[in-house]
Amino acid sequence: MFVARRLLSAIPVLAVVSVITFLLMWLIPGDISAELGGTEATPEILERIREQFGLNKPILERAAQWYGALFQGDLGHSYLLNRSVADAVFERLPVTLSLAALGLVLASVFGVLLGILAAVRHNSWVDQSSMVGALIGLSIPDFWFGLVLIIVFGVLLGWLPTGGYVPITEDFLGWVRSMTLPALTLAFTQMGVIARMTRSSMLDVLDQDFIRTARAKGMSAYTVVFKHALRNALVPIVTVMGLTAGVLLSGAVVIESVFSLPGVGRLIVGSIQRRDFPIIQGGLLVTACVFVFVNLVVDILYGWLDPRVRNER
Amino acid sequence: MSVEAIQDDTGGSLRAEMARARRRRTTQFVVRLLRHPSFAIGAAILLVFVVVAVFAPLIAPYDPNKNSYRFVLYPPSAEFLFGTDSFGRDILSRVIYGARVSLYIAVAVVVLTGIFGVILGTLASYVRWLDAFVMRGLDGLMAFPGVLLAIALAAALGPSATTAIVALSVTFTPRTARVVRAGVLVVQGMQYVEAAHAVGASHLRIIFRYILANALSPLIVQLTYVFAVSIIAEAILSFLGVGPPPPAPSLGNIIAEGRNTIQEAWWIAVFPGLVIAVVVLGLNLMGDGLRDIIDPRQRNER
Amino acid sequence: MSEYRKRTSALRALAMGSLVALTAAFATSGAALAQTMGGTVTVVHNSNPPSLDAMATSSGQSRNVNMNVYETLYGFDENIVPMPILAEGVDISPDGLKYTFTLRKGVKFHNGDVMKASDVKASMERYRKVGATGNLLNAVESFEIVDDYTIIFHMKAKTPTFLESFSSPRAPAVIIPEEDFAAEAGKTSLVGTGPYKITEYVPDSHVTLEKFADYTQDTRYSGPDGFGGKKTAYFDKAIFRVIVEPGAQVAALEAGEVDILDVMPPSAARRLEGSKDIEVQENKLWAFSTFILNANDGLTSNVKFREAVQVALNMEEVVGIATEGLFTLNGGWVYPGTTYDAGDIGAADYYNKHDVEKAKALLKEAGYNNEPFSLLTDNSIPVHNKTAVVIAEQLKAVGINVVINQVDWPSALNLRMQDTGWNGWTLSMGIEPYLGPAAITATLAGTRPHFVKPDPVLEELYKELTAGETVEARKATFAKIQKQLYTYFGIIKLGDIGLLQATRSNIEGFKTFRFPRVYDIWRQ
Repeated sequence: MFVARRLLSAIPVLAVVSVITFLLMWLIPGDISAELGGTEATPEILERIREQFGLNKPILERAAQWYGALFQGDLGHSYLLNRSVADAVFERLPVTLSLAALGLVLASVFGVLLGILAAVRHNSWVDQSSMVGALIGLSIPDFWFGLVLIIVFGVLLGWLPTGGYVPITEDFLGWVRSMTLPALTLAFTQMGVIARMTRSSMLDVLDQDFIRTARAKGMSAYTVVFKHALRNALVPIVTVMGLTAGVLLSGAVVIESVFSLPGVGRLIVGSIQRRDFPIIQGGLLVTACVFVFVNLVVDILYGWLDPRVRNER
Repeated sequence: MSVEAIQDDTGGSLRAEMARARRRRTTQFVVRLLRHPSFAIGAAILLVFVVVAVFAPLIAPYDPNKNSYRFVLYPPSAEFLFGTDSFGRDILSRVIYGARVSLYIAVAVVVLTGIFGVILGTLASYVRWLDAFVMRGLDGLMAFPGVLLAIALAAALGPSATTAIVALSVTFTPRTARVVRAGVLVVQGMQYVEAAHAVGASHLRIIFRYILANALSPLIVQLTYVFAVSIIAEAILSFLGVGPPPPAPSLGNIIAEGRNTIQEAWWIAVFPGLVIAVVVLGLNLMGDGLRDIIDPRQRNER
Repeated sequence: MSEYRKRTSALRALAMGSLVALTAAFATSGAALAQTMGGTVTVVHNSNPPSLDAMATSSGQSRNVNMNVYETLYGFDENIVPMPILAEGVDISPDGLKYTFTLRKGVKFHNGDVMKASDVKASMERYRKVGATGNLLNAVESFEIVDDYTIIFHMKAKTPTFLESFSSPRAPAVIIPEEDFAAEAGKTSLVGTGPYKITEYVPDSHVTLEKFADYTQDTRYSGPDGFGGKKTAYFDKAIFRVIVEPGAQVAALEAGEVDILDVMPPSAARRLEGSKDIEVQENKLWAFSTFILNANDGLTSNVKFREAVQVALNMEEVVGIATEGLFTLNGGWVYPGTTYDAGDIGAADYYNKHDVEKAKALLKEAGYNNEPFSLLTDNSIPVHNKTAVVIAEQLKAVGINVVINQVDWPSALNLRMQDTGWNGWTLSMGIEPYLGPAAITATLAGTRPHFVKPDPVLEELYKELTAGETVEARKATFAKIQKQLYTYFGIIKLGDIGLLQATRSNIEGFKTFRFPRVYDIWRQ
């Protein structure tokens, strides 16, 4: 019931996204004629290109067409890529999703461990050094960190490729090698966020009565942390992971460009810069769906972790 | 300790205890802050950064926008402490002026995000019939990956500091609101809030006195994060070519200009990068210090 | 600093005829080595080809890939003279109204079909419809198929420059199978006649070309020449990889992951000087750096103001900084030493003057009162925005209130097509100077591209140039055009800019050109 309601409520979210996208495209000056016609194209040629792609029609008519096709399950055809929008987006989605997933897994595992360690050893050198580590992670711009990794591991040491993507279906080891640096770059900054949040919510929980009682009863630190405190501290941690998943999509845009990965993020950025409107429109809708799904999972986890949240709805 | 008091007592003694707690907070707040090592270090870093940004014209050794073909890509030296860029401009002077732009953008984003995040987050969690409405709207915005939104906005409005501020605030507000809402939801169910309801406290009073005060720690963590990320996000936007336009320097566009020569002229990207790292570090230390002191549940630990 | 000087003066000394010398050098080294068949070569460039439908786009990124895949009837040889490629030859009637093209026999498309006149006709009709420079066929009334290997272009009027513009690689009039006639722009089957065929395109990642086993070599020639000649595919596969970041491109080349860099940053080239793994080639005559003024908008509608901008600029600093030293100072509107070189006519008094006093006097004369000067530039092409930044500083120094408006590339092209709202726009012209004076002048005459408000004198001179019967007559006209450009000040020539390309040292036979030729190169 809860899930069904949440799925239904995704519809207005997607509507908001697609309407905003249309608004933006209406605001953005320039169109595909620049990319195809170049600097020397005469006004007649530009007009002919616009006509070919139906760009001379009013925005409302184009919107009506687009939504009409959408209801028949058609996302349209790219102006430039010689393929349908669905093909273009879905062939890229695995790259972005696997990058984001790898990044999130790495960031969560290390972030949560670091955070717990810091909270349990509150005010010790362990706490301080892991928090300084987390802060440094947070403080370094990720694209810059990625460039440094390329130079160190790609150029100086020559251990890993400097960029490019190998599909997992083609060569598993090649995929691992091509994803290592991007995932590390992505995880490094997000790890800091998760570690900090884990630490502060763990500290909150560790300070509450029932934990004190447990401690007073002589339970081992291990049992207290993993049986009692972590479960209660998970609500904000899951929130941050959900948020991080969203940030990871954004982060993936940047990482994809640094490491030349053909992901959805770069597809959309490129399409904005080239004014390939159908791809922008379809790509944002698909990433929005992914996002809604991630949030749904996060909310289900909430409900599971803290029944009060579910009852509130 | 005040938490236990509220949970154990009822009625009149609750109010008395709250009043005493408030007086204690105000008198000891400043002293505590300054004695807190990470707050003090962080505040010192931020103070230096702000002073440098404000008095940039007095501190910078050269005009930050003066090109000189004679001094192209000089490595750091006594003459140019941070070296020069491919325009022959002094990196130190550009970093000093760039601090201004970056600080301005980040502060504006934090203020806007904080205001809208608290309003929307509290509304969503406190006024039940608004919850679904507000959260779906925010979900819609969140479903737009932030960087893409910024790029699209910059393409539509033209890249400028204002565009960056708008794009980043729109991007971070939903996240902040969610954190506030999640914090409030957890606090809302707690006994002392239910107790406050029981003794007939008004809604506004409950929101400000009990709920917001207690949801503050995640909010502060989130806002320090927003501040940090805003400075970094400005760099990312510049990296993708949609940051504040040239020739005015920002910490981000200096790095962006240096990224292509990072092997040949490492100093262009490295120094502003270090400044970003140090400032963000300072901000986070400050935020942590604030959090430790504001959050009453942390007090006994010290 | 001294390094820049050296580079510049060396460039000035070498500017003329250097390409010829380079060609000769490579021809000898190529002959001395045994060629190796097989393997994969990877070329890096910095963005997607906007289209693999060669005729639909004038983008250089597309050309890089497409010119290895498609061929034209006529194209330019190494010395920019039209040469037959898919055509056996052309017979032009004395009145100039009939161009009879005979086709090479037995040329196979990638789909196995043999190229016939019907394919040529379909390609030409489609070019009219979707060609990015489809207007170059405006001169043609109709196409007539005589037999399978003969086709006649009937002209509307005598057009002495037709064969040259028809040979232009800007948006090449390539020959594709008849079946693709009706395909919308960008939706063809990607079939051509070249030595490589397209087998995979993953946007933002790579385009994979495979050797076309049945490629029909043009045995009239001994080796590749310009866009034509006898082409031999040695590599089984050629991959065009997209890497956006120049730093990452160089890193990939250093790591040996890629073999050829389409654009090598000069600073990286200097760092890698003397490297035994990487060779750098210089294409000195790559583009013109220009600054276009809007003679229709406010400030810049005043010719005195435009003149002030011209005399205020220090070209050496502008182009030197923008290109990292890879430039030649040249105020002329063709490359020095070429046929139409008019020397410093006009330029002598105005080019690279950096005369602050005179600029201030002219501004005063123009009645300038600190109104903002909107300098349009884009964030996609670094040379453009670096040029804008340096120009802005120099104009501020003479008291002009410059505001830089940096937008993305489609916005910039859109804004500059507006009649008002901008005063100056930075543009490097690559292909026009390569094509010569008629192509350059064409972009400054007629209804738009570059001049919002056409200059009537220039319009007349352009007509005179295209009607000129002899080289001498055209040379005289072009000298007048150059003089007029330094009278009207609608466009400011900043300098000639070069291009560096880099290869791994084990790649043999590669020679810098308008596009990276992946045929007739092999791995040692």
